[in-house]
Amino acid sequence: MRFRSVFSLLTSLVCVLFSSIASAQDTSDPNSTLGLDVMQLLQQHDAEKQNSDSSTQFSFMAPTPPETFTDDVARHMLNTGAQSHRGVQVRDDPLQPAQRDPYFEGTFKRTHHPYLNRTFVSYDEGAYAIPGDAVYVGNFHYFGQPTEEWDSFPKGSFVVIGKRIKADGTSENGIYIAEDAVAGFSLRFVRATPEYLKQFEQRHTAAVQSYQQQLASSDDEWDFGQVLALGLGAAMIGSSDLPDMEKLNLAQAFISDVSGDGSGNALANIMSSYSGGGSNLGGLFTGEQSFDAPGLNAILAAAAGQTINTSTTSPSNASPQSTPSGTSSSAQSTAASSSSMQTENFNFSCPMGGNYTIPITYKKPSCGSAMKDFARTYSCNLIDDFAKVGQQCLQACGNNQCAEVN
Amino acid sequence: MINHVLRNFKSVAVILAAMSLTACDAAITQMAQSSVEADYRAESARLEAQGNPKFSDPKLNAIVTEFEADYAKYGRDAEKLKAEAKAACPMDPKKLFKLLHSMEYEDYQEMFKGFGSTYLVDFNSYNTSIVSGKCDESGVEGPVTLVTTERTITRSAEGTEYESIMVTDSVAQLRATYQDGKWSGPMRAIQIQKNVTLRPDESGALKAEKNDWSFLNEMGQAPIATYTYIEDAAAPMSTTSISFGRQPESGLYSTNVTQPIGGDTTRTISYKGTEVVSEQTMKNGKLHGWQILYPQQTASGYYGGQKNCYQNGELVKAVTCPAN
Repeated sequence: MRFRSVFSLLTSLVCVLFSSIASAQDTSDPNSTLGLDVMQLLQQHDAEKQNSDSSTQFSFMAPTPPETFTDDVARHMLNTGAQSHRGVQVRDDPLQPAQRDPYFEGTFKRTHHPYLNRTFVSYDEGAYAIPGDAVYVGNFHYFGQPTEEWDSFPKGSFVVIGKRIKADGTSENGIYIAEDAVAGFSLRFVRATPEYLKQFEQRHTAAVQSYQQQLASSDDEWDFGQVLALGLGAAMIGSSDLPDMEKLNLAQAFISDVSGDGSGNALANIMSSYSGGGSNLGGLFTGEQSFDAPGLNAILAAAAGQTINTSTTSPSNASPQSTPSGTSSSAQSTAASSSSMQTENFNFSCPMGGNYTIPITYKKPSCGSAMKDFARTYSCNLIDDFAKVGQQCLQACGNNQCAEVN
Repeated sequence: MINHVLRNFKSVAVILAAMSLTACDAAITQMAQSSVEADYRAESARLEAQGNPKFSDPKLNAIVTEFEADYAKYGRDAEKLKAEAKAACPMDPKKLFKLLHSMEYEDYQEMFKGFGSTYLVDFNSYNTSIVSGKCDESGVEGPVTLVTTERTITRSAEGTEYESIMVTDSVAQLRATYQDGKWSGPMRAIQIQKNVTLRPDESGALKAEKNDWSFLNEMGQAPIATYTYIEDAAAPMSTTSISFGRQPESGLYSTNVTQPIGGDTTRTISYKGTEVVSEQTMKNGKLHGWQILYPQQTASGYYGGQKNCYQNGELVKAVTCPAN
């Protein structure tokens, strides 16, 4: 009832404002020279801009390339059961002309919307470009948000783990989030801290769980576990296409931000191997993918050059040894750099699905055991057990994140 | 699919506009207009009755008293400011811009670019006169009172059907002391501005917008007054200052109080009437720390309220948000 009255009021206001604006042109402007003067100044400004350095910025990632991932392609992908497709999708910014609308180029994946209970297509790997402003390159994750049944436009939030490259040439690795996005319209990505991502993911999980309970009596057959699996903040970082060193830095930030004080190296090491490619160099960032987006290939090549330099100038921070995932062995002991250290590949499954193999390095077997519980609990996002495993780590290793204390 | 349909319409606003043209009859329009106008006027009267904020700090109260005397004298009448001009006082336009806006012209332009807009100053419109003090070919020196005129142009939604251009003509009075090549001590600035919105017609010529709802015209054409009081002009970004904004037609009764909280950091508390509407901290002139926007009271109840984190001017989604 209240909703209806608010809607009615809004409709009235919209009527008023737009009908007023629609008839707003004053053709008998007494100050007609003002328009001419202003137009002249603007034309002069635009001409100067064309010749200045700022034009480089203006043409960054512009113009918007033609759309290739059309509605027909999306429909075909869903109907045929294809898991992935590559293309360009343009989103609308009403305040920009069509040739400067933002767009995504990369691979698309099938995604389930927990509130609409249907599968649709969302972004996977690629670049989201805002001409003249910035491009976000990385792995995209979609979190469906409450959407009314009668509303056919899915609402949700996008999270990118990757690199933001600005029109001024600066770039930064990180987590970027665009909340409350509406299908078809431009996304506004904002840098997010790991702690915020953690909280966001917990809110999302709790909301979906609550919604699931409401639907408990219905015969929904969709895989709720798949939705929860999306929320693995640490795994999202670990499985991103960022080069290992950059991923490691981000993972360490995640540990210190989310888990409080202390050294988080152990888990950071774990996460760097999530993607399974022990020598993962980040296909998005090494020229292994070619983009149609104007200038993006060159930008990524330049960014890759910066990465290599960073890595080679910090040998002490070299990426830890990682082991390919998918090994069938349940445990394997190897010699570590220090004779007193043991490294073991730990295989486990999460209650909501997903199999993982991660290397665990420890001195005391009791600490190794606690480390496994800790890794599994955080990897599977078993929030209720966080405190318990932290306590176990403290007792066995002398540190609440299982960083062994001598 | 959905995206395709949406993009064909370009935006929801267009759909709503089309609805308004076909479905709204004159009676409903007039009724809604009257209702909105009544709400605005009631809100404006409510805020005016509150008066100005009162503070526990006598220094801030002294500024409020000073503002009340100044506002009683000049109000929003630009002609009263211009009438005091005695002689021309040529100043470098870009320096004058920085003086009026506390920011370099290029930085100001960049700020607008972030919103997809163009911001221009018509430097030919700059006209500076001396009211009191010394001004000659070498510039100003000692305690001075100046009056300046300025025209700015802001173009938004460029290249779209919503493109509009706002022309702002300002008259400002500046009272301060110029010594050893820089401003120092207290600075007082009164700025009175009027806006005209231009839109391109079918031929592309820019025409002044005029609404058939007289209340919107009344708001759009009413002058806006900004009175700013800065404790130390040598460090305008890290000193105590109060800025008062007034435009009763639109319900503008704002007071922004900025005070240093250590280092290069300041905290600004903003009031609407005497009600706190927001708090924010700035470091080196950039938003840094939590920005709190309190829920707002209107004739129809409360709405809004949010907390945003900024770090060195950038909006960041965070759980903790250091301010220093």
